[in-house]
Amino acid sequence: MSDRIGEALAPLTAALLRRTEREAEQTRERAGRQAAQTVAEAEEGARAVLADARARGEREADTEAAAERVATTRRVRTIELTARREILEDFRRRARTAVTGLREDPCYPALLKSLGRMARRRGGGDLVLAEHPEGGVVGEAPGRRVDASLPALAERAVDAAQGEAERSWLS
Amino acid sequence: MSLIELEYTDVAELRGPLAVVRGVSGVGWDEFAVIRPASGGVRHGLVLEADRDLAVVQVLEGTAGMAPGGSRVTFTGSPLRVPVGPGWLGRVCGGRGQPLDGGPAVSGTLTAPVNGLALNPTRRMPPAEPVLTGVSAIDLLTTLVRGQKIALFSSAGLPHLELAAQIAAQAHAAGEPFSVVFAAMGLTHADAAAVRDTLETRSAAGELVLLLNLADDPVIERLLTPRIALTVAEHLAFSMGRHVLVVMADMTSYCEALREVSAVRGEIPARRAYPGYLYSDLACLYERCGRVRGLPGSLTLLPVLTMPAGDVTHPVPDLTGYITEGQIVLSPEIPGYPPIDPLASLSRLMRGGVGAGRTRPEHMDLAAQLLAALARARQAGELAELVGASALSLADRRYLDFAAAFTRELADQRGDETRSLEETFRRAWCVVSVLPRRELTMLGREALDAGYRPAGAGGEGQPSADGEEP
Amino acid sequence: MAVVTRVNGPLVEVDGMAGASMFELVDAGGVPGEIVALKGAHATVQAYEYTGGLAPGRPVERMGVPLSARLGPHLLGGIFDGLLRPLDGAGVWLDPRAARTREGRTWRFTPLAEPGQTIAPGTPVGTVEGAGAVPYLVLAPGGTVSSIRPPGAYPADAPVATVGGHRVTMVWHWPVRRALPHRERLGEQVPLITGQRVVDLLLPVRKGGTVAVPGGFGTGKTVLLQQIAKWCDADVVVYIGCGERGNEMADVVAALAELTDPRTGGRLSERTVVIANTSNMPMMAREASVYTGITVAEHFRDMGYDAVVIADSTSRWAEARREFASRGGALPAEEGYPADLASALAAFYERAGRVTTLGGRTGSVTIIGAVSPPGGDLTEPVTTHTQRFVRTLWSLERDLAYARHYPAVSWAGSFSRDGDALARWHARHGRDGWSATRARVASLLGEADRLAALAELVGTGTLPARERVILLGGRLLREGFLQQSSLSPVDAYCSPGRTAALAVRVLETIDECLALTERGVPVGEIEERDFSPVLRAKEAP
Repeated sequence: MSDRIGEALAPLTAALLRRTEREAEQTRERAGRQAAQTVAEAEEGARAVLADARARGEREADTEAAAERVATTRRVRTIELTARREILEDFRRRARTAVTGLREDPCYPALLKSLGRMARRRGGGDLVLAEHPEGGVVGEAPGRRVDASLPALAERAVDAAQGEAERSWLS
Repeated sequence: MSLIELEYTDVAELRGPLAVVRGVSGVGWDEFAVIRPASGGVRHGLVLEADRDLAVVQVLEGTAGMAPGGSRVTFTGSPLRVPVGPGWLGRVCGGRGQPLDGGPAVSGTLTAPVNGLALNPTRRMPPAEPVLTGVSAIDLLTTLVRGQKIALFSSAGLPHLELAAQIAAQAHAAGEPFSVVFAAMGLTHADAAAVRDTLETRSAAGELVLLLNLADDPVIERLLTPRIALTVAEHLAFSMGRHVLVVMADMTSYCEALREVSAVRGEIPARRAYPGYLYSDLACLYERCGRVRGLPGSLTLLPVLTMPAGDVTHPVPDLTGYITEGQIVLSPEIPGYPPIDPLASLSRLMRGGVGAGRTRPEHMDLAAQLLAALARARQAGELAELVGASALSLADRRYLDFAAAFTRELADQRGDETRSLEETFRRAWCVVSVLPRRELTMLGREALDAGYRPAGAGGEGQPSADGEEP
Repeated sequence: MAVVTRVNGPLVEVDGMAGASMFELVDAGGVPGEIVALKGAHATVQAYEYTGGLAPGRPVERMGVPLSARLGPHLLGGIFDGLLRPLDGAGVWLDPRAARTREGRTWRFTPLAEPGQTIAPGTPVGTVEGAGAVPYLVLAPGGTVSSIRPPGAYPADAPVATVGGHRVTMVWHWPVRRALPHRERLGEQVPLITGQRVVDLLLPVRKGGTVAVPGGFGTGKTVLLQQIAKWCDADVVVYIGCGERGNEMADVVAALAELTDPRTGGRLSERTVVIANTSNMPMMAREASVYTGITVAEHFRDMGYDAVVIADSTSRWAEARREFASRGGALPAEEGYPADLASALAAFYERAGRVTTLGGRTGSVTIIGAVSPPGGDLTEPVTTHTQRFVRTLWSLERDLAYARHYPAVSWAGSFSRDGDALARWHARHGRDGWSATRARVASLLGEADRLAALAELVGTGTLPARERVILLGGRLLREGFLQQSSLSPVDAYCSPGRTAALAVRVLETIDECLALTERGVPVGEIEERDFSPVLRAKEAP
C-alpha cells in the first residue's frame, strides 16, 4: 500500500526536487545579488565609518570595521539560509496539498482500507479506526494511537526526502 | 523507517523531568523519543529505564505544562542518531542541533549514533603533527598535536572563553583542510554572542560548526550537545579526511548538568555529590579524538573548564586531568592576556609533534630553556618579595628582566592577533637573548649560533653584552 | 522462554532463568552478560556491552558456562579486550553488534608424553611452537595417557591428547572469577628485579608479591608501570589497561613491538599479553578485565613461569563495581562504593603468589596495581583498603613530579614489607653489603628530609656543618641515585649490581664530605664542590 502513497508522491517529489534545484539556482543568484548589494552598501557604510573613525584613532577604526564586516557577513549568510528554509517549507506545503488531494482520487476508498489494515498491523488489532477530516485514517486504542492520516504521511515523506534537498544546496 | 508510526498516549505519571509511559512494547533503553503534549509543541526525550511495559522517559525540555493523558509519545526505535556530513559546516545551531541561523534543519543522507563507538586502541596512531593556534605562548610552550586531547583549566573571571574562541578562529593545520566544531554549554547570551562574532569569518568560510546550548536552555540538553558535536566532528575527520578541532566550553557547566540530572534520577552520589560514573562519562567524551592508522584526518579536542575556587582537586579538573594529555592553565596571578601560566601548563604529546620538519629543530630545547628560566625567575621574584629587588644578585635580577621581556614580547597578545610560527620563534629568541649566552645550557651550539641575538645598544635590559657576576 | 524484563544501563533483568547458576554467561538480545543475582527464575544480569536499544521482551539465551577466559597459544603477543576477545582483527570502531571472528589458524604441536604413561595433574603433555617468547606448554589433567597426536599442525580447538578419559586441546577455558589451583605456596622470597633503582634497593617487590601504586594524575604512574612492563625479569607480563587512555594503550603496544627483550633477543611483545579495556569501552567489561588478566597470568604460572600482572588502574575497576551495585539498588558504603569493595580487592590480591604448581613446577604471579585516588587524596576508600592487602606500596607524589624528580616515588610515604627478606636474598647472591647500603640510604634520606623541613624554618645557614652535609647528601642521593630517566638509552634499566655500585659511590662521597668537615674544612666550600661526576655516573655506560 505504501506503493500507492509512494506512487502519488514519487512524481511529485521528483518534480519538486527538480524544481528545488532550479529554484536553488535562482535563489542563489537572487541571494547573491542581494548579498552583493548588501555588501556594496555595507562597504559604502564602512568607508564612511573608517573615515570618521580615523579622526578618532586607527585602532578603534579597525575594531569598528571588523564589527561591521562581521555583521555584514552574517546578514549575507542569513539571507541564503533563510532562502533555503523557505524553499523547504514551501516544498512541505505543496507535498501536503498533493497528498491530501488524493481524497479526490478514485482509488481513495481502497486507499482508506489499506491504511486501516496497516494501522492495525502497526498498533494492534483492537484499534478503533476513524477517517481523518483531511483524509486517511487514525486508529486509537487505550494507550495507543496510530496516525495514518494523509497529512501525517506527507510530513514523513518530506522528512525522508529532505536529505536529497540538502544535497542540491551543497553541490 | 516506516511512514506509519505508533504513538503511546498513556502517560501515567509525571515526576520532575520524567514521564512514565504505560503499555509500551519493544521500547529499548536509551531510545530517543518525540513527545507531543496536548498543550502543543514538540519535546524530546530519552528512555531512562524500560521495565516490562513501562518506559521512563527523561524529557529534555522538562515536563512543565504537560498533563498525564493527552500527550503522545513516539519512540524512534533506537538511541539518538543525528545526520552527519558537510551540511553542518557554516551552520549555527542550538544544543540539540536545531537551527538558530534562520536556515532549515541540518539533514543528510547519513546518520550516526550520538554516543559514538569506541575506537579500537590497536588502530590508533600516536599524534604526530602540530595544530598551530597562532597564540605564541601555546604554540611555543604547550604545542597542540593533531589527535591530542588537552584541557584549558581556568577560574571564574578569567578570559578562557575569549581564548578558546580565539584558538577556534585561528587554529590551522599548515594548509591542510581544517574544520572547527565549537560546542558551547551553559553560556550566557552575551558570551555566546561574543563567541559567535569571533567565529563569524570562520563560519562564513565554511570551516565552522557552532552548537550553542545556553545557560537558560534545558539542562538535559546540555548532556547531548558535546555528543552531537563529537559525532559531527568524527564524520568530518574520519570519513571526510579533515583535521578537526573540537572546542567544548565549558565542561564545568556540563558536569553540573550531569549532577543535576543524576540527582533527579535518584542515583547515589559519590564525591562532592557528582555521580560515581563522572570519570567514565567524561572519558566517553574525551576519548573521542585521535588519529587512525590508514585514515587521513584527525580529531583534536580542547575541553575548557573552570575550577571552582581555583581548586585543582575538585572532581571536574581532577578527573579531566586523569584523562586528557595535558592542560593549558590560566591563572589570575599572570598579568595581561592571555593569562597562561607556562610552568603549570603541559602538553604531554608535544614531543611527538614538534621539531625538525614540523615546527623548528630547536623547538623542544628552546621551550625547555624558557621554562627553566621562568622557573628561576619565579624563585627570584619570590626572593625579591622577601628581601627587596636591590638585595638580589645580578644574575637573579637578569632573570627578572627576562621574565618581564617574556611577558611583554611573547606571552602578551591581543585577542584578535594571530602570530605565525616564524613570528613566535623570532620573539622567543628575542626574549631568550636577554640572558647571557652561557646561562642557556639547554640549547645546543648550532641553535644558539643561529638564533641568539643579544640586544646591542638600544636593546632591552642588558647593561653590557656580557655583564656577569665575578 | 527466557526474556528480558527490565533494562537500566548495564543492569538487565531476566525472567525464565530456572536452572541457571550464579555468574553464568547469558546472551540477552545480542548483549553478553553475567548473572549476578538469582531469585527463583528471575535473574539480574550485568551486561558487558552498551545496552542502548535493548527492549523488554527480547529473548535471552543461557550459555551454560560462567565468564571464562579462552586460554591458549594465541595469548602471548596478542591484544585483547576485557573479555579476552582479540582486538587486532576487530574493526576500526568497536561495534557491539559486529561479530568477532575466531582465528582459524593451526598451531604446531609436539608431544612430550607417550601413550600408556600415567601423569600427575598439571603435567605438560606437549609444547606449541611460535606461541611467544617462552615455550608454550599444553597441560593435562591427571591420569593415564590413552592417546596423543604425533608432531604436526592442528587447529586450536582440536583434541591433541586424551588423558584420564578427558580430551586435551591446545585451547581451553577457565572461569575467571575462580583462582586456578596449585599445590602449595612457597616460603622462600625471591625478588622481582625491575631495573628501577628506587624500587629494587629501597622498596623491592618479591616474585609472587603484591604492589599498590597510588598516584594522582601527572605523577608519572603510567610511565613507571610501562618501565616495569619493559624491564622486569619475569617470563610473562600481562598488562591490563583498565579504564585508562586509548593513546596510552597504543603507546604500550607500539613500544613493546619495537623494543628487544634482552633475555631472549626477540621483541618484548612476545612475552606480553595486552588486555585493553579503555575508559570509553564498556564499563562492565572493564570490571571483568582484571579477572581475565589474572587468570591468564595463573595459566602461565602453571607452566612454571614467573608472570607479572600490571593493572592500570584498579580504581576504574572499583568504579565499575560501584556503578553496577548502585543500579542494583544495593546500599552504598563509603563514598558510594559497595560494601564488598574491600573483600573484592582482597580476593584479587590473594591470587598472587609463588607456588608449587599442580604439575610440580615452580611458578609465580606478581600483581602490581595502580590506584588513581580522586584529587590525589590518599585517604579515599580504594587506596586505604588496598594498602591493607599488599606487601609493597609505591606512593607517587605530585611535588616530586612537579620538581621533575622521576620516578616520583615518595620514599617516606611508601613501604615494602619484604625489604629485609629480599635484602638477605641479595646477600646470598654475592651482594653482601646490600642490606647495609639499603639501610644507610633510607636513613640518610629520612634525616635529610627532616633537616630540610627545619632549614625551611630557620634557614640552611644556621644549621651545623654535619647537618648541612647530610642535607647535601640527601640531594646527591636524590639526583645521583633515585632519579632515573625512562628515556635514557643507558639508564632506563639498571641491574642490581650497578644499583649497588651507584649507591655505594654516593654514600662514599657523602662519607668523604663528612670526614672533611670533621677535619675543619668549611662546609660552604664542600657545598660548592663539583659533584657532577657522581651525579652523572648513572648515565655513563
